[in-house]
Amino acid sequence: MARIIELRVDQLEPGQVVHAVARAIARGDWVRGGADGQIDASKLGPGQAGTGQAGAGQAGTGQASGQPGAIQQAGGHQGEDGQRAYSQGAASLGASNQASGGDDDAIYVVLLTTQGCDFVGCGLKDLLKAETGASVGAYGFANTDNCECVVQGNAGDYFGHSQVSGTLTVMGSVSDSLGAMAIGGLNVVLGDAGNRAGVSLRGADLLVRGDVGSHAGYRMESGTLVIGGNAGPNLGAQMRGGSIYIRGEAQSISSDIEEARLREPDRLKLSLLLMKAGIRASALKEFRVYRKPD
Amino acid sequence: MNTKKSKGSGDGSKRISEGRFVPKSLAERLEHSPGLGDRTDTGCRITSQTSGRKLYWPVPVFTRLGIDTPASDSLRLVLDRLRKRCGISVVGNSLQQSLERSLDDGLSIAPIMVDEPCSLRSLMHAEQMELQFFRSRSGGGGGASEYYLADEWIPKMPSDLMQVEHLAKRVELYRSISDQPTVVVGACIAAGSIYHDVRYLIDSGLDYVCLLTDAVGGLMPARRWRFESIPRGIEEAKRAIADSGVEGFSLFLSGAIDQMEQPLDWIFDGVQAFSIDSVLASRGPAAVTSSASSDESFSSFLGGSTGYATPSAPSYDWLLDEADSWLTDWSSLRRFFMSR
Repeated sequence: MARIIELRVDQLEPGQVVHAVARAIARGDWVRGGADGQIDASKLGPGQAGTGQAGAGQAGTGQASGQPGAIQQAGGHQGEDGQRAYSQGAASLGASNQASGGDDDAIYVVLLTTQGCDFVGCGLKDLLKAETGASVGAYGFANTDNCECVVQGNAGDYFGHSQVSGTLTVMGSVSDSLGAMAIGGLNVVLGDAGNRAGVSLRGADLLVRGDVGSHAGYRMESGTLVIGGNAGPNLGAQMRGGSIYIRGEAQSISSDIEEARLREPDRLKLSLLLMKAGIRASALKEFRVYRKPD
Repeated sequence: MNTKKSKGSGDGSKRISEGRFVPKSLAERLEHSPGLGDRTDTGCRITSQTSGRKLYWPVPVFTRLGIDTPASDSLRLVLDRLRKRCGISVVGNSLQQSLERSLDDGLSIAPIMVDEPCSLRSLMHAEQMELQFFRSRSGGGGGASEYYLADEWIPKMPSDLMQVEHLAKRVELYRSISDQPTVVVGACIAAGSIYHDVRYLIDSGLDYVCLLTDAVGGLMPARRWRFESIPRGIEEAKRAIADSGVEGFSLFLSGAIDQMEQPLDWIFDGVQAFSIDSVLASRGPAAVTSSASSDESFSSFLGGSTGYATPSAPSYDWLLDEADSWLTDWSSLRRFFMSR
């Protein structure tokens, strides 16, 4: 039986979410499906979650969890008090359960936050999914490990800092230093990213569907930065390793990197990342790849 | 970088002879318990300038051996025992997270390598945290096993931080991830541009700075490096603290101790706690075993050869006795004198 936890984190110290999740798991605070109290999570299915909540019945119509597309299908952004997001999340869980055949240990956490709360979801580990119903502030979902995390809004500086594994998705845009020092996993931004996206990246994959600001890939050591739009000045400055794929134009490119030929492994890598992000990989030929010269 | 071995300065006895320290009078001594083994009056309190929290240390002594040397499990085990038996605080990741704590135990200070991915889960129950502004190398596995390059105490800034405000936010993150949001967070810097570095750390909201004027790398044999003269280091740091206008910002010192009176001098000068690594390194069985078995001979090209007998793991039990002995002597000395 998959289990769901609902946490109102704006009443907590910002970084205490991970402790609250641990406590909730220890106490067995499994789901409340709305205002009416306990429900059995095993009975949740597509369209059945969030009893009594407007719009919940239409959410999560069989979309496979793990794809941003599924979240988009669930509809609704920037839940005012997070309750709506919870209902949508619960519906997504039902879909996920069906898709995965039901995982006994899967835990789904819905974080009910106010807009722009810092440090949301830091240090979370081994959760099926964690989702916020609002934008998050600095260091959102930093150092997460083996979690699928979704922000239904925008994110602040250092989103996904030191990420270890799993998938992070921001439905809106992010501020500066996206995915700094991330060592693994995938970080997807469906909007734009600010300056220094992928700064000091240590092996993770970052994908920005829109534009990025200046100094993207600054001091990057390994990993992949995919830019679907344009880049600001100084792309790849002081880059020591890894690859930058860019579809649009860069205002200026650092002399520390040089363009390489897009080979088949690059196309495969790009296809895979775009597929994971739920983005159609129809324009692979338009991408260029930059690396540190040998 | 100056790597000369430290030489005796004699500052401590000189200052004592100059009358900077005077023995307590008999009348004052009568007011106190005569228990010589009692060290409770020699503790210190570290104040968090942000939360106002006071953190009690049973003795104002710490060791960085767990982080400055290639730490084996046997060394970590001994350091844990050192923490419990002598009350010495230990910088380094503890081998075992024991729930049993005594008021007389030293603290376990969680190190944070500033230019490595942070491992927040390891900080959740930290009693105290210390940022290490040195070059380090990640051992992989999620950044949990980080260590120094053994021979290089190279000052290093976090490569993903550009402004003071960014470091302040990072420090806030560390505090907030802890189960004690008032946790004391400090930083250790190799003495270089001390004044500006300390001002930077104070502006970033840290609670204390540890000045590394000397470093000890390895114990068998011990290797020592000197970066800066201790008096100048203390003077610069104190000037920076005074100029910042922040009260209660603490200063730690990891310097070479040539005479037992020196730390008294440092405490008189405003240092809250000091490291005894140089003492321990000088008392170790280095001379005897330097050419024999050592699991720290990582630089030896014979290390990976299968044609030689594998050396047995060194025992660090002597650390306990040496530390206990030195601490007893020093505590007695401290009780004997009082500052004017």
